[in-house]
Amino acid sequence: MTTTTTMTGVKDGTGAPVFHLTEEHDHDGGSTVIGFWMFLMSDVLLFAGLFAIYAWLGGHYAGGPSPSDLFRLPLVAANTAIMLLSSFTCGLGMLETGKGQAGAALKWFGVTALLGICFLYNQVTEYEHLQQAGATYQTSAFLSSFITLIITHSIHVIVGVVWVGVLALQVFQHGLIEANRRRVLCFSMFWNFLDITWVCVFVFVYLMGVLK
Amino acid sequence: MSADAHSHADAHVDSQSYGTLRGYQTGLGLAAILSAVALGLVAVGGIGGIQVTALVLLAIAIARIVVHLVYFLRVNSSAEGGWTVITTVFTVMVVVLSMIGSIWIMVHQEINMMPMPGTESFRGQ
Repeated sequence: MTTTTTMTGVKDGTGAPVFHLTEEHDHDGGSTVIGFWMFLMSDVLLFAGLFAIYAWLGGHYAGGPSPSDLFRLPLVAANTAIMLLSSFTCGLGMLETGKGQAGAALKWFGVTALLGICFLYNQVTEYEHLQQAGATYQTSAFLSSFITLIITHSIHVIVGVVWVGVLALQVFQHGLIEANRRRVLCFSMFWNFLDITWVCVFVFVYLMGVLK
Repeated sequence: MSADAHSHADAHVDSQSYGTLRGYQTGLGLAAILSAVALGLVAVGGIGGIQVTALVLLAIAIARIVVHLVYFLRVNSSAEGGWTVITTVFTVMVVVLSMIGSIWIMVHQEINMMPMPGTESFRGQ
């Protein structure tokens, strides 16, 4: 704990200078949010690596199917809408958390998790479609890099959905205490980060893939 | 004492961190419009050649990310004493350098590779 003392220069009559403590508390947990933000930034670097690999290998079909043969834009557009809507419901949950309404907050985070499950269902459908079209992980460098990218994103969504469950358990047991508010804040950062990553997948992989 | 409790709560999660309904609505609206424009652009087959369309898509993606950072994640110079902005700028810098660098190196490596038999289509073998 660091305490800072400053001299005010005010004399209290006896001639002795008066000191004030300007910082009195250890803020335990106060650095969690910024620490979690830094973790997210490192996750951005992970995805940047996967995107760079895709940018290079995305054109190597090895005689296999190309993006325009495989990608179904309506499904992808639906997933983009689902992700965006879930970011919004996550925000509504944050507003209720700010007001101290634990029940309403959990309701909105529940909706967020449900939208996440819808997203994952669509991703599974998409993956089955790829399998049926004979587009597997081993088919070409394009598919290896593409499937690695979308599966890494889906794993993040699964973690987010599990997180809502754990968060709900914590809030049920202890209410919206300080520690739980901090967890809610971290969750909302994580979920919004998933949406940002999906936007990149949507534009750089799907839309630009169909354009070629 | 009450002042102490207040400052303690402030240090953790201040009321600003929860955002406002208006902010979230604005974010939702802007993001929806940007996504729809990007989708529509590809659905009509692009404008003025692939390169121009790709650049427009890139611009839309960047705008969409900025909308998300500002309205949903509320990254601004006052949040966390400016640390979120500093780490974000640093990450963007590292991402841009590593992506451009990697792609540049790999593409050039590929151009300079000796053509090898069978690499055109290993499926046919």
